[in-house]
Amino acid sequence: MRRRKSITITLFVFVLAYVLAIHPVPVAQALEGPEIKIGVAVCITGHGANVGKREAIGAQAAVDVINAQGGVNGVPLKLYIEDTASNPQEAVNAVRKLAGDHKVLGIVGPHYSSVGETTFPLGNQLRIIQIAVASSKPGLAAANRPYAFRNTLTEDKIAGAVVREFKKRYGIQKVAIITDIKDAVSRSVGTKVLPPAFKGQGIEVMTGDKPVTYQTNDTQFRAQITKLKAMNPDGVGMGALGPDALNIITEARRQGMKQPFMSTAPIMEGEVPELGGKAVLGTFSGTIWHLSMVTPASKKFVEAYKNRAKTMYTSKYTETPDYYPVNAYDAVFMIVEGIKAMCVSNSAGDLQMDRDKLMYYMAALRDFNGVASRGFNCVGDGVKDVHVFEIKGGHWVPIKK
Amino acid sequence: MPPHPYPYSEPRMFLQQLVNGVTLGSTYSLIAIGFTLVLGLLNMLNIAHGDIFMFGAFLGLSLAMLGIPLYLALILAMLGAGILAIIIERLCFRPLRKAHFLMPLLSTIAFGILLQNVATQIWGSEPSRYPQTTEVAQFQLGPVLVSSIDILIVAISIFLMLGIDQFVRRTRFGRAMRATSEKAQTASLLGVDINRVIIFTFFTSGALAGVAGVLTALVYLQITPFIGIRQGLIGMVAMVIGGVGNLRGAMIGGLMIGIIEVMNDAYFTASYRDIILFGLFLIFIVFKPEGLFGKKEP
Amino acid sequence: MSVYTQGVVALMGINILMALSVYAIIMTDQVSLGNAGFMAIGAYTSAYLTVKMGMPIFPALIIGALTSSVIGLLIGIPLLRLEGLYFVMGTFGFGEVVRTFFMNFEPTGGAYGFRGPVGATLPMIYGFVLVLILFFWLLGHSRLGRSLDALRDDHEVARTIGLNVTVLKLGLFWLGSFIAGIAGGLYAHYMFYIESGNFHILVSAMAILYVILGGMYTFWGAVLGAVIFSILPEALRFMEDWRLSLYGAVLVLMMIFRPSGIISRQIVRNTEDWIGGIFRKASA
Repeated sequence: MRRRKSITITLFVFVLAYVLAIHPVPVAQALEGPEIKIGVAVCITGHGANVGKREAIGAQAAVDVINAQGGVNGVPLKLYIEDTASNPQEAVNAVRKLAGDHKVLGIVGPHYSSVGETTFPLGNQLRIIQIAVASSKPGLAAANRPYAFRNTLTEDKIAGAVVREFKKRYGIQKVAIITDIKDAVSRSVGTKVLPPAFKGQGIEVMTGDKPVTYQTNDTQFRAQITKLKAMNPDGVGMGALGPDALNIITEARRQGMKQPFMSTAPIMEGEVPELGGKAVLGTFSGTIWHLSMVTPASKKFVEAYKNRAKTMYTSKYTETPDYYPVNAYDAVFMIVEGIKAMCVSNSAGDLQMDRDKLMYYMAALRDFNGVASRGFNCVGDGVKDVHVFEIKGGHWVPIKK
Repeated sequence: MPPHPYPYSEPRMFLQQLVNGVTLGSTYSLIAIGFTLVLGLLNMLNIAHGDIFMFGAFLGLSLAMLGIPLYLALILAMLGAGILAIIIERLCFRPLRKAHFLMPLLSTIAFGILLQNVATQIWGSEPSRYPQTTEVAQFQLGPVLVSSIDILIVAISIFLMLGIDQFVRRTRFGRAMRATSEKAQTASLLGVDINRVIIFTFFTSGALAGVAGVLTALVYLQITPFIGIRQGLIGMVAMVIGGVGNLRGAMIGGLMIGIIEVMNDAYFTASYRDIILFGLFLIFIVFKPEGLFGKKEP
Repeated sequence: MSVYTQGVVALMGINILMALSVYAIIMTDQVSLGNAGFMAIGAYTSAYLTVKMGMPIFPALIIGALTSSVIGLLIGIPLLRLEGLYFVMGTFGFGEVVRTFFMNFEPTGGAYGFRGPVGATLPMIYGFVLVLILFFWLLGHSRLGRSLDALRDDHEVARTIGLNVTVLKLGLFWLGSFIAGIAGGLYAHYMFYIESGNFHILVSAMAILYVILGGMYTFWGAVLGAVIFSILPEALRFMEDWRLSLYGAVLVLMMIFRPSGIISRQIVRNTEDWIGGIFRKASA
């Protein structure tokens, strides 16, 4: 009898050990309270005021969702928001305040490549990550390893997908390009991104390396359209921001041009389909996220965002989200995942180590499951899926592939 | 004559760009006249002038969004902009009459910062569009395409400019304005109410800027709280080229700048635009400060 | 000093230098609205030298400032013939031409800006600030300084007592553009990146404001104005999105209520008398 009992116990112990070895019991990591601090550095004033406020709301929405689930292992998140005023000097002060005074673990932001150019090197000096929510200047993150990350998709990836569909639909053989020469992103799209994207699909670029040009927020496009019309291309590629694209196409229709237009993500903001009417039908673009998307994660984001927008920076410019706040929302979740996966301790003495842990996590993040984010590539730029859209019936409608 | 087939012939493209330039230039002329009125009268620049232009455009926008018909919105925006100019006179010019001569200029720069940021709070930083149809009547005038709004802009601009010009030349009050700009002390001795002249001049300059703002927004499609900065500077360039203190000079200066800008965009690239305009400005200031039509200042 | 305070103080130092660059020119009763242009020349030149040619930072800064001051001399000769408002407009035109030039100039990045300059530290910035403060103090107490006071009050009288007005004006314009060039070089090497948009007219205008609001009859006014108005936007951070509006309003109100600046001529004289009094007592 005793022998059977001891065999049973031994077997039991062995089975238990086996089970534990294959399925280790998770040990809840001890996170120090009272709160986990995350910084947000975006433009609350200045040229980017509207979009910066939306990004802040997006980040706060993420914090709301996480805190509603009990925070991270019971410790709540707290967001610290500092204004960059769309301006490098203010941005540098904002980052310093977040890192030095508020002692945040990581920073969501900035917005604008020209701001990132000065805050990214600073972040490397201070050894704290920044996850930019908007910045498409090619090579910016690559030049600022290891603490700079951009949760955005560089325009060349978007352009390739859009050009492919554009050619398929309209049988484009030759194209003319019109580009903004002031806004760095649009300029880069018009001069560095679109020409190789077209050539890669065997499309002739009629404007060569001298595209038709204008400056951001120009009040009229007469001269430019007259020039485009004279070339008689099959289609027109634009390096432009939404409002300018709207005016370009409108003016083109006014002057009798019938060709289709295409561009990349920026033109999906600015209500081009709603305000453009008949003129803009059939225009192509692509982006990483759009309000019309219906995945569960996307819907959860929209709901959390709209709730938060009722009490934070409330205005008609912030009530509807676009893809910038999605980038901020996903960035907060990325930081939280990093905190869990890297066993961040959140104790004051470990601040630098915790910040470094987050940096290593982001540098290796390849399979994140965000609303519109998959992680980062080897140079710190975002990895995301591209969705191609066309304007149909007053809305951006996704192209079935 | 039947319209030419594509591609455009060179002379036709040139003429079309000329039309574009004249329309753009008319709005610059309105801004330049406002600058020159104040400069000629008080020998001081109102750097916030461009922001009055911006404010007029937004005022017109808000009124139009409320459903007010466009011509009424234009007039109300004009009045609003004029009143704003008077407020600027009260805050940035009158209290500083005895201070260093440059103080009003600096104060208007600070006031401009205030205006831009308040406008951002009210109307947002992203571009706004007027609620109107994009279908406009197009006329084929010989080889060029002219829209009904082009005609409207040029007509309103010429009407206002001639009106001011005649007013200053022929009416008693206009004479008082000219007397004050020549020599304020003497004018005051002769019974001119200097303050009234100043208020009226500011109101007029603001009203013109406001009209320019609404017209620009109507045709040229979009406005942000920061457009005043560039438009104001361009107005200043037009004023200097035409001749400081000279109304006709401002008119012609504005048209010239509009044409130069359009031609540059058509035949070169928009990147060179500002360097050409400010380069011209610098050359005129250094070598011909009285401009094309002004008199030589001592 | 926290990281944040360091940052604010560093940018404040650069603002002090820009204010002093304007002050130098105001000493001859001229106001330059184009010092951002000289700042840009200093910034781009020194950055090019350190980044593309491997020069150490200190000589690069000096060469950058010399470049901008030589250009200052060249543009100063035709400009200084102009009086009052026309001089202001001329300098403004120059500043804008420089800005738009750099927006197009490919070797320094054009519209994409110029990345890479590093090495400006807080001690370096304040080293320059202290040297210049010493310089202006000595200048103010020298015979040259008194001549400049005379020049400022009345050009005609100055000429009649034998001062070469043109040489003095040109010399101080050269000095102002040199100091602005140093400020630009330090700015570039502190911010890690420059683009033409960093040197717009508002930068020039704010520098003038620092001088006038601080008190334009003494270089201490320039310093004080730069200090106060560098701290003000940071202090107003709690205002969130109304911050910059309030900043503009404060400036306008300050000009209405204290147009002669914080440190007026009278205060300077009183302070000097008081300091003189202490020395006399000490040596007695």
